[in-house]
Amino acid sequence: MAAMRGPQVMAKRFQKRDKRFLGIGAQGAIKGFFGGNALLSIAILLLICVFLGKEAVFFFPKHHEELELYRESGQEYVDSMKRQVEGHAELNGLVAQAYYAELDEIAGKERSIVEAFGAIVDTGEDLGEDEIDDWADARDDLEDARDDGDAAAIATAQQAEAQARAAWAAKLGAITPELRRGEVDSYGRLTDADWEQLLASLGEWDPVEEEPPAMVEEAEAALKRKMTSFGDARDAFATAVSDLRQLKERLRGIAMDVKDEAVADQTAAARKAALLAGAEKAVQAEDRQRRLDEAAAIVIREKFPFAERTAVFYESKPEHAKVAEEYLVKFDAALALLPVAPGSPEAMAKLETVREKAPDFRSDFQRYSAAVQEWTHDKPYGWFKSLGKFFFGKDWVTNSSWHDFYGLLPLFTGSLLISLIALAVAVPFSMGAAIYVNQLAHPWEQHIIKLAIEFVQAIPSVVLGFFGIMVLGTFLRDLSQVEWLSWVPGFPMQERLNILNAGLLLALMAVPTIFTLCEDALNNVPKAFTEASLALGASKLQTILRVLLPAAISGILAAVLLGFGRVIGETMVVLLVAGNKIAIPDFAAGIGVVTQPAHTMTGIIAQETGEVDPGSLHWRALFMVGLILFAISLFINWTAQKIIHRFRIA
Amino acid sequence: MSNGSKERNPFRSSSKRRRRNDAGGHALFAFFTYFVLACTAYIFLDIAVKGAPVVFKAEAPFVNLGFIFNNPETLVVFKDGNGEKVRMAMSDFSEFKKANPEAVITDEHTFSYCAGGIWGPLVGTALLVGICMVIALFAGVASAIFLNEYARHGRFMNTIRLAIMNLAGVPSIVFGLFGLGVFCLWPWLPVLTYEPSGNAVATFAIPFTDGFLSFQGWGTSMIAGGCTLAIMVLPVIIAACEESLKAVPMGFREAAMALGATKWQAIRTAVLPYAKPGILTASILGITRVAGETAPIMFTAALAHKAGLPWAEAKGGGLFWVSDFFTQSVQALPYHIYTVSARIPRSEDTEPMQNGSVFVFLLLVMAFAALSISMRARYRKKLKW
Repeated sequence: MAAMRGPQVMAKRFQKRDKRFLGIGAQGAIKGFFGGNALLSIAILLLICVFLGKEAVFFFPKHHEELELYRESGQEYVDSMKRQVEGHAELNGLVAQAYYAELDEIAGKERSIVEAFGAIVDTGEDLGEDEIDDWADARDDLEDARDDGDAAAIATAQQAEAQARAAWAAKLGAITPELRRGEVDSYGRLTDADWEQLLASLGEWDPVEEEPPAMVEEAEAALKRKMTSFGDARDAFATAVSDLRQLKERLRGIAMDVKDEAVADQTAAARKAALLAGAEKAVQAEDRQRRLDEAAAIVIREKFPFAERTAVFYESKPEHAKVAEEYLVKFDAALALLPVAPGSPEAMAKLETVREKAPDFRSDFQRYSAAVQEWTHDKPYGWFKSLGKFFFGKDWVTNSSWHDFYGLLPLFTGSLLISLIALAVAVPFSMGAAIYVNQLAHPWEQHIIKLAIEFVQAIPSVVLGFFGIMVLGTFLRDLSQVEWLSWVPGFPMQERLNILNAGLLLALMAVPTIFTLCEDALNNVPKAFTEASLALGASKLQTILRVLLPAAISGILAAVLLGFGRVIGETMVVLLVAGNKIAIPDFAAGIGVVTQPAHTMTGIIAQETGEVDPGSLHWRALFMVGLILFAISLFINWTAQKIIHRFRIA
Repeated sequence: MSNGSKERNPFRSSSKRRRRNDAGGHALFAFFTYFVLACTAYIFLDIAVKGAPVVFKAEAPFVNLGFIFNNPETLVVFKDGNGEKVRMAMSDFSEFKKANPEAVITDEHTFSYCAGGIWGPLVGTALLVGICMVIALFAGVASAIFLNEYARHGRFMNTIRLAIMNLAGVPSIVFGLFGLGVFCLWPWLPVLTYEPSGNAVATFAIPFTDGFLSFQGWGTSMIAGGCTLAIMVLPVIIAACEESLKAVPMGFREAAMALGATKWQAIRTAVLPYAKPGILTASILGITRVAGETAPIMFTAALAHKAGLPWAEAKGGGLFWVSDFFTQSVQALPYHIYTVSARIPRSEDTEPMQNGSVFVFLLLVMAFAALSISMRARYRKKLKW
């Protein structure tokens, strides 16, 4: 009976009461409610597009306006010269480095001889003070006796002098073995032969008259000879640019003024309106009068007279042409003066770089000269050019009094480089781990490793960043300073926080993602594949490499792509660890580029968004970067889906 | 005669070489696996070894309660008359100076946020996670029910799934920007306040009070941060909830429907009760994800320093208090860690705070991770119908 009642009661509970409102029944409403929630994901994606887009979309027009002002105010004109001067400064820096390397290394032997002798003199004068004094006295006496012309006195004095000389020689003989080579020749650059020769030549040393041995004198002369020719070349190189620099500095001030005035002009109407509104509200009469006066002082011009204000730039064009031509002559002359075969390999390499870069620099220089000559303030700024300035611009300079540049390239390069390093490290490790867990490990091992990987996934990124700052950075730098590792490109590293450090930490973050997806992909390969391979006599390794991996390749590719998406969107680690230097890393360093600091797209948003005014161009630029990140992530996801579908094993 | 004899077995090689290769491959794959795990273990150990001395102590109650239950403060380091180094929180320091006006103080340095403890950030993180989970669970469970119980396969369904999958791949900093644009700055979000801001797009005086319903946006606030985090964690919650709903056998629903239950009654009485443990697991998994995030709350909710706890700072009464409570900014532990590790120079004076807060944070997140993993394991074992 009781058993029968259960279902009845239940059935009663479930009785339908079909009330309808506006034609929608209760069930329909419930379904609609859940469906609405499920639509939330689509809605959010659209909202992200809308809100990021809303802030970002006006970036380009405003950016374009700023660039037009940049041209109209003559800043572009001055910047062409600035690039010329900067290009020179880069080469000049190399020359200076080469000079000091040469001074250190090449002239090293001569310099060491001179310095070692200096140290010997100090020791000798210290220990043999009495002997030197005696000898000096004896020589004075001899001098006096000779002046007097008394033969007996001369003979006595000569004898005394000979004794003093012998005493000094004996003392020198006693001192010489006590000289510690490591202390005297602190650079350790003297060969054994040089050292012996130096010690042997000490007999020629006259401590009283402070005359060094011939060998040391020769070294001094050689040092002077060698370095003066290089020194002259270096000075010629450094001063070649000074006329151009002066011209640039003078015009720069003018351009700055023009820009400030033009900006003030743009806001004049708004300021006037604000002052008038303030005057109306002002309670005190004098306050009101002051505001009215100020408002009256503001002149609203229909159009800023750029042509009139920038006339000075047009006038300076011939001067620039002359100065630029002179510069090139001086540059070539200075380049020819640089020593062709300096002794130091480092200086050699630096000078080699200078010579290699010189033709490029020259053509760039001439290009900029042409740009200077062609500049006109009223030529419209091309839209493609202004888009290119953002997407391929090499500078991201903000909060500058001169001109703000919003170039994506350094940030994108940094993000990409860090992500690629992270992937290069993470992919072998996570694929290896996935294969191991899927194919080779014991069941209990499988269980534990999967569990541990879940914990790896749970590590918050800010903790990893903290670890990077506190431990990994220092560890890597110390490692890079180990002597026998100095052949590794980029070692020793200059910075603790750099691309490599961030890449390694991000690799650890990417491992769980790639591992899990790879493992799934391997699991999805039908058992029959591996069994057939094993039955044909293949070994376990052969089966894995030739059957399993090819069969799972689509899943693995998707895993790598999604790992890439995870890494390129990661913020905290790169913000803390990548070094935050906004510049395109110097790829001339080869693989060593990874030891340089960089900035990233995610990092720049995190760092700067909190500090800019909403609605400003800078703000919009940051949202634009966000939009690009969003687009990248959607693209990666979409591609991963496509890959999985395209290559799915039926 | 036939070609067969010429075709070599592609797998043929000498057995000795094969065995050696096999062993090498095995070792290599094992090395890859255990190297990753060893690195992780090293990170945990390093943080534990450096952080544990700050958080624990040898005598009862074994936990450094001051570090847990105090707010962060500015640290003052100076040398006293004997030339000994003294470290003090700013508040203690001003009292000390008042008490000993003649005290010799030389070589004085200050470090922001490096004295006191992490109570404020802990509370803030708990509040953010709480708000986030309430919103995310509501929307996530509802979405999962729709996807698993109501939706039919088709283009619409595929679009939703694609959207969820794409949402999961969006970088967290983009969510931060989105939250900033929507929840902080979009002015059409209402607050209850006594003093409407000048940016309000519409204000309505509420009768019988001197307050207003003002549409002025939420600003940098814990509700904005919570919503941002909720959106971020939504795909994780949906996926986990769907898994637990899928695990309930079809027969349960069919039996309920056969007894005359409507669709919703069947879900409510025959599906949800059995999926509950799974949903709970999903929520803890979500907490693990959300608690560790810094980027989305950097400009939507967090600030580096706040004098009082959120409930002490909120003003007004009744609903006004509630509104004020949720629209204030909070400290958060991950943001605190970011601040002390990125903006404060590293020295022996600042290291206790740096290491201690990271250790506590990692401990908490890992505890939640362990909880969700163990719960899931138990739940899966139980769910053998």
